[in-house]
Amino acid sequence: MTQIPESRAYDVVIVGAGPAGLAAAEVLAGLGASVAIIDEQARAGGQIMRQPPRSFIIRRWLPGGLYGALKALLRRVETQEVTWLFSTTVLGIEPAEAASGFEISTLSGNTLGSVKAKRVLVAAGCHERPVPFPGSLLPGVMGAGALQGWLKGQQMLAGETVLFSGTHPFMLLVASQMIAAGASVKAVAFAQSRRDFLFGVLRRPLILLTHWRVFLTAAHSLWRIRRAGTRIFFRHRVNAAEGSAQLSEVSLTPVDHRGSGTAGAEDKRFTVDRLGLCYGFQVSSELARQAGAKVRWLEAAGGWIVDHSAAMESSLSGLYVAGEITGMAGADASRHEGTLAGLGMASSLSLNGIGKLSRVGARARRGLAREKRFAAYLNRLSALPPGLLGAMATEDSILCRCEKVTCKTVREILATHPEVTSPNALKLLSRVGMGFCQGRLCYANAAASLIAAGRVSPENLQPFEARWPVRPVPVSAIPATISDGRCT
Amino acid sequence: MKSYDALVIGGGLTGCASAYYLAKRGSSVLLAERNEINSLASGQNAGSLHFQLEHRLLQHGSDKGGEFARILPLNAFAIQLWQTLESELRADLEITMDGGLMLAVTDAEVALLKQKNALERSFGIDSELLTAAELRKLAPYLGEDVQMASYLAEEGHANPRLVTPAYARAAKRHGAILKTGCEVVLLKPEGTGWIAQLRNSPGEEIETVRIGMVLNAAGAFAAEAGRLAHLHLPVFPLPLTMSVTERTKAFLPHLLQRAGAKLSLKQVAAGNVLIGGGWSSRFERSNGVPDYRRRPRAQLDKIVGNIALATKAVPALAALHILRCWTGTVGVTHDELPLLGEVPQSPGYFVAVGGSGFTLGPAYAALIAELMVTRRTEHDISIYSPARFDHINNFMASA
Ligand SMILES: Cc1cc2nc3c(=O)[nH]c(=O)nc-3n(C[C@H](O)[C@H](O)[C@H](O)COP(=O)(O)OP(=O)(O)OC[C@H]3O[C@@H](n4cnc5c(N)ncnc54)[C@H](O)[C@@H]3O)c2cc1C
Repeated sequence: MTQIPESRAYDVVIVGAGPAGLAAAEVLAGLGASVAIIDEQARAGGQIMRQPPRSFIIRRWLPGGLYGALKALLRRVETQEVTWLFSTTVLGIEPAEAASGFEISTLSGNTLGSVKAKRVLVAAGCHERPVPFPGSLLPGVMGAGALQGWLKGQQMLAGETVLFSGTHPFMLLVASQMIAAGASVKAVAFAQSRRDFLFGVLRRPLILLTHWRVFLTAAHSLWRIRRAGTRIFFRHRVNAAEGSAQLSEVSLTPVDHRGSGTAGAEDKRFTVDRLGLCYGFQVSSELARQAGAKVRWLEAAGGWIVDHSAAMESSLSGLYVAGEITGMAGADASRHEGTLAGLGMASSLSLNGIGKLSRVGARARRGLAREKRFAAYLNRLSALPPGLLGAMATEDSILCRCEKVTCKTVREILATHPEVTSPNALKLLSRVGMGFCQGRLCYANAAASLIAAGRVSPENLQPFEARWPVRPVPVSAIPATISDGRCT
Repeated sequence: MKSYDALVIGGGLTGCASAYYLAKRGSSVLLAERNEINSLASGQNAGSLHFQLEHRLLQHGSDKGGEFARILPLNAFAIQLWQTLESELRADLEITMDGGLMLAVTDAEVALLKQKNALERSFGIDSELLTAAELRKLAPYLGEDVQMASYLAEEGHANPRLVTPAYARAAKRHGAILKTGCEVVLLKPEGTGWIAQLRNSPGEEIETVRIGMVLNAAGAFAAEAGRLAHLHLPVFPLPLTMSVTERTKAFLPHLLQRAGAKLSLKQVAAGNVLIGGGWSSRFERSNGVPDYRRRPRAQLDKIVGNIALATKAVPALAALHILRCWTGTVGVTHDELPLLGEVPQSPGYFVAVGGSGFTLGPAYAALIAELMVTRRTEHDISIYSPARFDHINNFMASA
């Protein structure tokens, strides 16, 4: 690993050191391209392979056969000649006006920097989708992914007693990992019915063959969960998270097949320290959008997903995309897309030796097709039932957590402004999306409230604008170079 | 065919406010906005209520400064409107008029301030020069190298997110019809009035209406809306940029500007500090040519320059984060004066467009509505008339 001076030029800059970024790096570095990998985290691996800090030496930090290929990939890339820029946030990507190529603006610590690249790969992954409900901001209420990250990253227990609620089977995995680590998981509650799950599999029985490892892992998780005495509920949603300064109690409410149902006598209450939620994921495509790539709204696939060619090139020439931002499909699909993007960039850069890799490409394409089929199944299975959001959000629930905008405020603004039809107009009137996260978290909920009010159809949605800086920048990081302000 | 007394092109501040003042005076009004209400400059601007001559008007020397100073009578009228606007529109617009400071850091700026003050006083704008010692009392948050400032008690800011929608609601209360997703695509004189074609999205169906008068309130697109009636209106779109910090506790009660540099600063009701002052962004291209309809692209070096200036004026900003930068397009004329009045060659075609259109939008609107309905105005606005482009429009006139 090398520490590099700023504004260096590379053949390729890869944003995101997860499976997609690593797979692309492997191809490109293998062909002799100069490659820099930038990641916000302090180590490589992305969300799924979240590594323990170097100071912890743990032999099997990721149990389970699922991760074998990814771990091997990480080890291989770590021995390659690539530049790692960790703990570095990309703030924006500017296509060069005249020539081809890009300038990538970065923030590390309190320093603004930039690197140049002939090609850029954005492989920025995804984050969990928050949903508004009473108590959603109480400390102790977390995304299941965040709980898992905690578990993986620090190898310590997030909380003593845990409850999971959501729509995504990912909860089973995290629940079982937490049990293995010594937590007491009280229950895992799905909004869907048991039949939804069974029929999902029965409709595509081949999936059992192609993805037996996943099902095996799921079965193993289930077995461990059952053995620990954890209850599994179907057709239940969170009603409220309660506690004074910290979560202490969670209530679950039964729902119908649309996800609707009001709190009442059949509610179940649990005393817990942590609530792990997973109502699906949202892709982090804001950087690709800021650069100027075309996107498309596909809620079930994670929101604003980036259009791309078979070689993974976006509508913006020279800007490639791979991984979740092309549509949620999991780590293996990301890895295959990364390989294809690496090959696409290699061929557009006319790197020597690419001819030898045709088999690698064919394998990745086959693998990707297989994973996309599974992703379609999983995304359909974990999609929010149509009435769920409406049933969960009360008037006082927080729709935008950064600006503390309630569902009631949004409803009232829509009522007094019947002409509002776009999320951007709603943002301007309500401050939804104006805070620290810049709408990365609340966009889907804002869009859902416009759709529910009949103001816009999903086909006509527009994203919030994405501009430099895509993450907040400390003012103190801005150099005080220009003092007379004459430059225009 | 439906008919109206007036068609207003554009649902920005000027258009919505004009619709309000027209409807209040009893006209039947149709406002057509091709995007959404308040979706362009009027919702994207910095919200400064600046009544002192700005840096951009001062930077070209005293001769030009004298010419640009002809805007000042409008400023005086605008101050009156802003002072009563919240009760007039029955809405909280986050208007504060707690004073504005134009800062001088360099000696050249000190000289500029003195010259500016003399000019303003001759137009009845009572700005006052404050020494560094006086500033330390009035504005302890200022950086050490501020030598002098020109203070005007009426300056301040209002929230652009709220003002135009409030005018729109008030216009509707008075019976105006506001159509969004509705683009004016053709204007033809007919009899004593006009025939207008409107294209409604998403269906794209064309609707034809008969109208008595047209008001071009299309902002940066005023030239385009002029061509709909075969007129040349020399309005140029300029791409600008803004930045905003995270919220912080109230510490900055004034509007700040610099005399010799592009800077405006204010703290809004929510606690965020807005940083602007006229730094440019850049038009995106579509098929190789600059496309004014797309949101301009932010330019990193300009943003950095803007924020560096801001931190010099108010060092406490260094403890905050920049949350977001945005861009917008403003329409200005070559002489920095608004285009306000009827086009002589095209009776019944009015225009109200100009820079500083947030500060002056209510004034533009009130005056143009008065002119359209009564054929005259109490304040003399003849120097802003589109008649100054007669030499061009004499070739264009259809009549
Ligand atoms: C970043 C920025 C900061 C600024 N800061 C300040 C400030 O601090 N103080 C200040 O006083 N001024 C400021 N300004 C200037 C001010 O914002 C503008 O002068 C003012 O908002 C113009 O208002 P408008 O109604 O004329 O135009 P707009 O708000 O642009 O409205 C024009 C409308 O017309 C519509 N339209 C155009 N053509 C058609 C058509 N054919 N059919 C239908 N609709 C059409 C457009 O869609 C648009 O909505 C700033 C501007 C920018 C961009």
